[in-house]
Amino acid sequence: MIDLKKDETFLARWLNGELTEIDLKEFEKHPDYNFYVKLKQSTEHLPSLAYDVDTHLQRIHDNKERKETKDSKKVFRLFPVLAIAASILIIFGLFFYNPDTTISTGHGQMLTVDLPDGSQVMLNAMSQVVFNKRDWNAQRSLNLIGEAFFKVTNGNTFTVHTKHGDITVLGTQFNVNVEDSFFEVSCYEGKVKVKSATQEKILVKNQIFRSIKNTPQDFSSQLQEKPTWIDNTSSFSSVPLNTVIQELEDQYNIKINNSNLKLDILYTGTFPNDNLDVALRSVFSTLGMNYRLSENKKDVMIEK
Amino acid sequence: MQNEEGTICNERIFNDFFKSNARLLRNYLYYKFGDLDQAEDLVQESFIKLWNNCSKVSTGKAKSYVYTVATNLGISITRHQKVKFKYQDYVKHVKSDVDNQSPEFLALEDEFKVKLDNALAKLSDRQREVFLLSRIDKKTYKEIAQLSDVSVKAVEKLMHKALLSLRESIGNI
Repeated sequence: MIDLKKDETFLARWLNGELTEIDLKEFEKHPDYNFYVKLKQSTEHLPSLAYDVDTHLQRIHDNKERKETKDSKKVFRLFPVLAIAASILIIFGLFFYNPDTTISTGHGQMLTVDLPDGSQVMLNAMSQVVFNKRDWNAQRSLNLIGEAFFKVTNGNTFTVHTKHGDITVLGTQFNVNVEDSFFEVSCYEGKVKVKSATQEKILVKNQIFRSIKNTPQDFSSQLQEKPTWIDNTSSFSSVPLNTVIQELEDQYNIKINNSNLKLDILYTGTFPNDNLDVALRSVFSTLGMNYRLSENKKDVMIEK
Repeated sequence: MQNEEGTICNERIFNDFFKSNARLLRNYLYYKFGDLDQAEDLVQESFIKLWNNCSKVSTGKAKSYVYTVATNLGISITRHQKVKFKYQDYVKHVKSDVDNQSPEFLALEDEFKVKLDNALAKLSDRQREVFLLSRIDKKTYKEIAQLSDVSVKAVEKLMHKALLSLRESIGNI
C-alpha cells in the first residue's frame, strides 16, 4: 500500500500524471483514492477570476501622475516654510518688544507646528495660531483663528482661545474650526472642555460641539481617526453653505459670488483640496446649481 | 549598457509587462492573502513602485521585483489583521461566468462545493497559493516555484500537503 505520509510529493506527482503504471495501480487500492479523484475532477475546470487589465493599467497611470503632482506640491509648500522661518527670524529680532510667535497659513496651505512641549498643531488653510514660546511651560495657551487639529502631550492644562470660546484639555487630540458664524470642536481622543459665550460642555472621544451664529446645535457624527482635511479632503456634515463657501475660498484663493445663494441651507458632502474643478463640481452640482469659473480661475459666478 | 528604450521606464514596455503579468500576480496574492480587493490594491501599489524605480530595476528582474514588493506589503498588512480567505467572492464570480463552466463543474454537488470552500479557507497560505495556482491557473510546479522563488520539490511537497489537508477537512463523501 502507498504510504501518503512517507512519500511527501506523491499526490502532487499523481495530480500531474507523473506516476508510473505500477504506482498508479497501487494507488487505486488506497481507501482515499476515490476522494482524490473526485477532488481532482471537481477542481479541473474552475474558471479563473476575471481581471480588467486595461482599467487597472489606466488606474496605475492616473495614480503615478497624481503622485508626481503631489510631490511637486510638496516642493511648492517649502515656500511657506521659508516664509515662516523668515517671520520667526523677524519676530526673534523683535523679541523684547513682542515675545509672541505667530504662525499662519495662506490659501491652500497646510502646516504642522511643533510646540515647545512636543505638542503638535496642524493648521488648515488660511488659519493662524499665536503663542508665547517663553512662557509656554508655565502656561500652555494659544490663540486660534481658522481651523486646526491638535495633538496635545500630557501635562498641565492646555488652552485654545478663540473668538467663540475657549477649549481646555489635559492631553488629547481634537480639531477646532472657527469661522465668522461657525464654531466646531471635535474630540478625537481624551477629554476636551469647551466654554463658549453661552454654555460650557465637556466632550469625550467622538463627540462634537457645534454652534452656528452663537446658537449651540444638537449634532453628532461618526469621527474618523483624524480630520479629513489632513489628507487634503474637506468634508461637511449638515454645515451651513456659507461655511462651505468660506472653506472653498480658503483652500483655492478664489472669490465666490454668493448673491444667488441661500447661505444658510445645510450642506453634507466632501470636496478635494487639490483639484479646483472637482471641488466646485462636488459642491455646486450636488446643490443643482450652475457655476462659471472665470478665465484666470479666481472668480466663480453662480448662475442659479 | 541599456538605453531607456529597452527598460521598464519605456511606457510601452511597462504596459506590455503589466498586461502579461498583472492578472497572475493578482490571483497569486488573492489565493495567498485571501482578499480580492486587497490583492488588486497590492498589484496597483507594486506596479506604481516599479514605475517609480524603473531605472533601478532591469527588465529581467521586474517580475520578481513586483512579486516581492507586493508579497511584502501584503504580509505587513495581514500581520495586523488576520484575513480569512473569502471564497465567497470567488463563488460569485464563478456564477457570473456561466459560459466557461464545464459539465463537470456544473455537476459538482452543492454539498461538496460548500465543504471544498471551507476546506480551502483552512489551508495554510502557501498551500492554498500552490493548490489554486495549479488547479485554477493551470501553472506548472516549475512556474509556481519561480513565482515565490523556491524549489520545485518544495512546491510538490506543499501540493501534497494541501491535498492531504483537504482530505482531512472534507472528510468522507
